[in-house]
Amino acid sequence: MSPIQDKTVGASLLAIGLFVFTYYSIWTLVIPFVDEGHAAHHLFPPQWYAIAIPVFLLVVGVTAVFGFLSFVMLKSGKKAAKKST
Amino acid sequence: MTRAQVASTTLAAAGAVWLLGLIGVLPLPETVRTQVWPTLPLLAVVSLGAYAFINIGYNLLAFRECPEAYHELMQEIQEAKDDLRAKNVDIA
Repeated sequence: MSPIQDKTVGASLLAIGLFVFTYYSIWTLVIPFVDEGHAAHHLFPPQWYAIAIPVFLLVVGVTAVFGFLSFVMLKSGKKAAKKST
Repeated sequence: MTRAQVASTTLAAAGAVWLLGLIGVLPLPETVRTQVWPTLPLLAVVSLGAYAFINIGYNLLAFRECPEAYHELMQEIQEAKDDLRAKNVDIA
């Protein structure tokens, strides 16, 4: 993996992290106190999504982690069974 | 007092405070109690993820290459793999 590739990956991770943090913080901490008519509301989806999107991503992530774990365990279990026959 | 004990105690204390705020025991303004407070655990998880991204991203950007260390490391990995395979450990 070339250093340039590493740096682009690093820069994009950094940018995504900063953006997600500031956007989500404003979404949850500032928007509830802004009046309904203010232009800022146009930049943010309804509050429901502020809960739905992270919860959905968490569920998908945890499922992926446990799924991978089970896959690896099943594969090594099969290998052990094969070896013992 | 291990690190895990400290971490779980802090987490439990924060969780207890959050639950108290949720059921209405703490003196919170109405908007905060109904709209901001319930999202705090999610905010914590999202911030943790964002912090991890920022950390990794920044270190990837700021890390200086050292080619000899790379080659030395690859060789050590190969030696370790051969050694373990000789001792009947299952290596890909």
